[in-house]
Amino acid sequence: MLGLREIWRRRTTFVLIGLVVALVSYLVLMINALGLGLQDEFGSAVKRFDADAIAFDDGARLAINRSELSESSVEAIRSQATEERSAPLGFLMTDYRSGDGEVLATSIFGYDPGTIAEPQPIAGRPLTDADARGLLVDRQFLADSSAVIGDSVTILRDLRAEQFEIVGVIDGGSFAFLPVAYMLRSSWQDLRYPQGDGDVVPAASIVLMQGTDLVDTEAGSGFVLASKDEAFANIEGLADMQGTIWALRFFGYAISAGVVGVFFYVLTLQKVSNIGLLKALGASSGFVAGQTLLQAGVIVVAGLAIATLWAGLTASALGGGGIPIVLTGTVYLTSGVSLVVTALLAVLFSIRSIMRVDPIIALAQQH
Amino acid sequence: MRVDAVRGVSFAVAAGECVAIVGPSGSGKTTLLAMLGGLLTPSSGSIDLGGRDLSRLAKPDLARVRRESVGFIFQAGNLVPYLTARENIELIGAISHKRHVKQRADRLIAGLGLSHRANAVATELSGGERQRVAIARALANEPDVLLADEPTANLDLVRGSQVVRALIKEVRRREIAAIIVTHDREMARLTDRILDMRDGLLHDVKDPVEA
Repeated sequence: MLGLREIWRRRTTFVLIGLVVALVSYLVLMINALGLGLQDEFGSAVKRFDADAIAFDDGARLAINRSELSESSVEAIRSQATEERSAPLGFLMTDYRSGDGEVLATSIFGYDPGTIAEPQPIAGRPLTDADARGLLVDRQFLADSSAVIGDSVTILRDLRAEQFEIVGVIDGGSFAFLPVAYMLRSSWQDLRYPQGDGDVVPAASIVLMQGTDLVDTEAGSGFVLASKDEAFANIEGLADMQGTIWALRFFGYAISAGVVGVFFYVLTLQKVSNIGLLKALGASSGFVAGQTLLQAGVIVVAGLAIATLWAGLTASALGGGGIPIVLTGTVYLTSGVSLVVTALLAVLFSIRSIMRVDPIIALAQQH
Repeated sequence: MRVDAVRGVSFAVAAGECVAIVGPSGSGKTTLLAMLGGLLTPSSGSIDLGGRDLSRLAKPDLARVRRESVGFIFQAGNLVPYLTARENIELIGAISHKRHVKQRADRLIAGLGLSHRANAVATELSGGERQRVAIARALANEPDVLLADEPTANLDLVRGSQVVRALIKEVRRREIAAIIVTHDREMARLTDRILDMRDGLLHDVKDPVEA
């Protein structure tokens, strides 16, 4: 194959081009991985709910932080599913003081043990109804506060300071960039709505529900149902952030296509006399274009493979450092396919010039 | 402004015949060669190659004629610089999808005394070696007509003469019609017939012995 032989014989040139493609691909992969990591960090707790639908107060515009449901609303919502397949969940964003005195923020969810809202501990033990001052915390919570299971943290709320003990660790994710902590719903209620005698306070912020046909059912008065994805997409501020991430990804692809396109265009311009010679010898434009596409394909795929390795190593290095990064097979696949397609589209400009090369230059450009 | 680079040129070349076109620079020799090889289309007139009128063919058809029926030898060889001597010859097979070119390449390399340089990259070959590779490449697809543009321009007299003698030997042995454009009258005398071009016109036809 002519194109492959040229790569081998002019390997210094092609290695340098491959390196540029690898660097650009690495940049795009990292933009995608960090962007998705950032997005995930914004609401991974919601994605990890063991639910198919979420019920909100109908005035909350599907925002968990704004939603407040009364006891009667919770009961009405739960009647849409069964008791076992629904669970009220309270939400509160607040500060806490770690053992070493540092004040940090957390997103707290209040749940009832034994319901679908209960997170599974990966270390320690689950909460029981007797753990009114118990907490299950996300791994990042522990890392941020330098705490361990058995340590106490002080939840700060409305000039009050309530001590809680960490009894277990969960893979709960984060909400609004804050690592989550789970406590009993009754504790959440006390913390968020300190009540006097006879006061009526919300029973939950949302209700998690399981079932495939729930979202399509007509919601009752005072609440609305949304899918988990819809709930995630409606987290306050996420849309703006996603817009920025999409813009970053778009510019990443556009610039990478431009860089790859320009490199192959310059390479094509350097080869005009050779292309003219091949055409004079009877090579069709398709043959020459095919060799160029083959070269571009090999260089782009090789560059992408190197970039994938670099990105994997970077993700491993950053992953433990608290920097949100999502580099899954899907990210590799979508980024890889998008890069190959955009790069090959950019190479089409070079192919356009190949089509225009007149074989007469084989006679005119002799030396 | 319209310039007629070639006017009123009419001649025929038979299989196995070697014709030299001589004339000063700018006389239209290379333009004529380009038209004969289907690289340029004449504004009027016709070019008959084995019953096909090249002046009426579209670009893709002309490309097919070049790869199937025409062998080109350019000034200074014009080899693909990153390919070896053998690969430059076999290139014709890749372009024309003819598998037997590979086998023929070995015979051509041996016949033109290039066996020891077969695996040398084009840029490592001397001028004479490059021209011999170009001859082998031009013959590799068994063309009906061989067109050479100043094949000895960058060679000294001895090497130039060797190249032309090798070329004529192969042309006669393979019964190919050959047209060699040159300004070197000494070299032209080695051919069967000389056509003299001036200002785009074919002035006279000379027998090499009289020239």
